[in-house]
Amino acid sequence: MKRLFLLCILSCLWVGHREIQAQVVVYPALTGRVVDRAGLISLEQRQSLIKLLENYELQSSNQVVVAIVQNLQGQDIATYANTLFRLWKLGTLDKNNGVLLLVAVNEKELAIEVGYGLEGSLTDIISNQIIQNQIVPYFKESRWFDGINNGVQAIIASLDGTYKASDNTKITGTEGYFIPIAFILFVAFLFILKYRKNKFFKQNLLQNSTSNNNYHQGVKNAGRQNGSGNFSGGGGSSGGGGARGKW
Amino acid sequence: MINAVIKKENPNRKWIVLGIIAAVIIGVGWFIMNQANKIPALQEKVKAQWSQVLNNYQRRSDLIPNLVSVVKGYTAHEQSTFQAVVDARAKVGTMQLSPDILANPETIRLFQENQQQLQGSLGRLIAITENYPTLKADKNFLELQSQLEGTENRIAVARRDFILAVQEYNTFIQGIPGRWIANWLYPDAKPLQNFTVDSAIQNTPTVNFN
Repeated sequence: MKRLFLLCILSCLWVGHREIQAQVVVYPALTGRVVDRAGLISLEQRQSLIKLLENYELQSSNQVVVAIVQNLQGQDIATYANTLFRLWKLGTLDKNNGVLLLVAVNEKELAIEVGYGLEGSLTDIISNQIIQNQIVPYFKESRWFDGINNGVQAIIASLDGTYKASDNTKITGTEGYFIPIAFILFVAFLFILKYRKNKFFKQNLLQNSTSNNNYHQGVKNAGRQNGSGNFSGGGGSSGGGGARGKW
Repeated sequence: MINAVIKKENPNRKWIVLGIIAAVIIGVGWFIMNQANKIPALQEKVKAQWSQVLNNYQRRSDLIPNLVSVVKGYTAHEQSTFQAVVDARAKVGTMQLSPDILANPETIRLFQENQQQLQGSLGRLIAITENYPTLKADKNFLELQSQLEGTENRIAVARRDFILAVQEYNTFIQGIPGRWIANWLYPDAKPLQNFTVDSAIQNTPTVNFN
């Protein structure tokens, strides 16, 4: 608590000396794997991202979280992203294996903040490439979900070591086909989601009554409640690895 | 009257009083021990954060030769700018930086000054690259640029952590009961010099790629 308080004061000083007017900065609470304070993406889109991130954490234990804020309240994005990462304690205490993708709508800025433990696979260079090549082209066309989804996929791929940097970026999906295809996929997706959700729920109930493993229950519950429940960070920290960019 | 009754009815009164005194002594002793242990713990934290700061400055130093050689390939006639970076880096490299220097305000000031100078000359180097579109499209340069930017950010974070750790330590050993305990058990524990945030220094160009 004391450290938190000092951190707040210091971040205020920090911003102060950069000659930006700053009052107390209020950070959003970690309500789930995708925290959208700006209403940039729809509920279905949010759920599909949550599903993706949740499955990835179950499989790899890496904790990737997306935060979308309306503005940075006068702070620069590097400080904001690092402070938010540390407040949320993404990743586990011993592995520090968290990643935060932060989008600030008013400032038109975004950042990938990487926990200490993942700096080796998600390097500054790759983070920068993901921002510039995978996210920014979509954001320039106001295709928020596509940009974020693509970015998250690339982050996961790079953590798995399968990300290939592409020099020239082309946005996939031409305008003519995009909407009908997207619609069909979306309907199919809804069906799958509904089916899997029921199955998942039953499995989970069964497990709750037989298993004592609190951590995994916590992870699963967080996902089941679609991020509105008791999802939390595991005590990880970041030293400022990653990259920042604008669109 | 009541006292008399208690006295009469309680032959163990002496032992109860003794027990209370013993409990108080143990309690106070435990508290002092706790506080006393805090001093070395905070010292170690400062040292750890200091190494983090040095690590990141070192990381930046290591990037510079590559950066200079890539930029040089495109902008051969900006000799004075390169020289400034190389000189500043050499100056930073000659400093001996054990954690003992933390107690020495003069060394810390010098260290800061040298690093700021390096940052300033790097900023100017990056600024001239704006005039060379072919350089800005070079893949190596772009990679070095993002590494340098990431390193600058890590330096900022490490410095902030260091400032916090020193602040916490200084506050503790100058406050009460920290000051008494320090005087009594750790006479060598002195407040440490923190990084200062000088407004003049802050105005040196920072590396910014946007």
